[in-house]
Amino acid sequence: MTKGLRAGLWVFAVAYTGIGLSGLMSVEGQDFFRILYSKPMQAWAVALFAVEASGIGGGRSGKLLWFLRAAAALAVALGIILGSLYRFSGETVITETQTVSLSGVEYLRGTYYMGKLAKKAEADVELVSLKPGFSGDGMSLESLDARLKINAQERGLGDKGAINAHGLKIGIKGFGYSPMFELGERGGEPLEQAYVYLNIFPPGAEDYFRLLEPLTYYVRYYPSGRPGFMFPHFSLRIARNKDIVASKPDLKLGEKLVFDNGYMSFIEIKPWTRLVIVRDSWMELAVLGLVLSFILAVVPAILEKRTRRST
Amino acid sequence: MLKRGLWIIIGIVSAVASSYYAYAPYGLENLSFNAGLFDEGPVKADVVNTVRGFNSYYAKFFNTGGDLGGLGEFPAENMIKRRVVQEINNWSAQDKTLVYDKDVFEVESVEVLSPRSAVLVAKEVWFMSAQMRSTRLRASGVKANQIRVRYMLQKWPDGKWRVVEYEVFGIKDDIPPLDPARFII
Repeated sequence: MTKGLRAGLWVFAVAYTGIGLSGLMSVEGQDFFRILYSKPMQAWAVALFAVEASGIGGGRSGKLLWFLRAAAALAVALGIILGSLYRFSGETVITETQTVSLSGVEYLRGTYYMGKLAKKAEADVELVSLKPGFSGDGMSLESLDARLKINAQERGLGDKGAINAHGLKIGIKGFGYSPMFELGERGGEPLEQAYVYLNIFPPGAEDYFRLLEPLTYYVRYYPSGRPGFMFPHFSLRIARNKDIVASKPDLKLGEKLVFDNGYMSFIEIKPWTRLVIVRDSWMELAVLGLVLSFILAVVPAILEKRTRRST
Repeated sequence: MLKRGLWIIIGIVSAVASSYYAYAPYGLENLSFNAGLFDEGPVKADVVNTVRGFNSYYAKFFNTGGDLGGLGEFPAENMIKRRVVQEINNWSAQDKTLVYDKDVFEVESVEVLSPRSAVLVAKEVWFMSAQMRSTRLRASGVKANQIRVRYMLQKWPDGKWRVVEYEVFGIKDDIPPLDPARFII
């Protein structure tokens, strides 16, 4: 009975994880850790440990095998349950030269996870520099290197790795531009200046932002120019609800686009990336336990089948 | 003692049932969509009708100078309603009314992204003019506003579709790919 129950449990885990990762029943695939730390998987982990520890109906064939299976299942159960309670993770945008305080920053929607017993990340992170490596046509990102100061200690980081600092794993992901806009009165003083984080990479991608008025500012950025406009420039379109009140396809840095009684200009531009923050010391235990448990479930079964065939 | 095969079936059924509850109440709807079994026809028809209704209310609010009767039926997310009211108030402060007269509404495409979200692109031409609020005498010339609009719609729990965002492009502008970060389905 143990073998059948074990097989059923593993089929459940693989099927449930597969449904979650593929997004078959949701709009998009779920993050692996959200599936792993979900209530059904916690219940599954406890059931797996109960089955392996008790050696139900199987006779403890090979005490060593029984012990290893039980230990691996315990690692899975502890890793999943404690991970779900203590994990903290989230992503936030950071612009070059900006400093963010991880305890007070706003994390991007859909990326934030805080277990019931978790503590918020606490560290100040400054993005000292961000160096993207583009493909030949400038349309895709091939590499991304950053220098970060974490609580005043400078470290280097690429988009394929992560830094361990102060109990956190910090990585970077994604790339875009944050232009600094200047909104002012026509012929007068600037009224407002600020960086705005926009998804305007690669060249031709468009994003928009709004300030207090019912105006929408649609922006594209061509750092190397484009046919017909072979110089770095923005394309800016301003709409008041459905009325396009001003537009300029080749706005240079510092140039003003006049509309109504004011103007909009982009006076500086900096790159941004996303900081990926994770504190989860239990995930490795859960994954190690899963791999061991699975191997210890499958390999003996295969060997036993081969032995039966040969006899 | 159950055979192994039966335990495997129990495992699969349990996984599907757990997933059903994890992704309720739209799990089966999403499954049928992802399996290619979802009938998009009625959704597309609903989406087109919703955008027509959106434009009808939009024009009415402007043309009446802010008569907000029907604001609850206006199939739009609250921030869109707020921007419309904001602009009408701005015009009212100048004792003016902005009149929107729809000339062209041509649906270019409707894409169903999921059972509860869709994107519609339309070519529109609106004749716009300002009028004095009190006398209805024309206060500006007539502007032919030729635009393409990408509407993002979601189906809310009450079963009705609403425009949650729209982007306005010039008639000659290319429309860039939809940014998923902007439209979380």
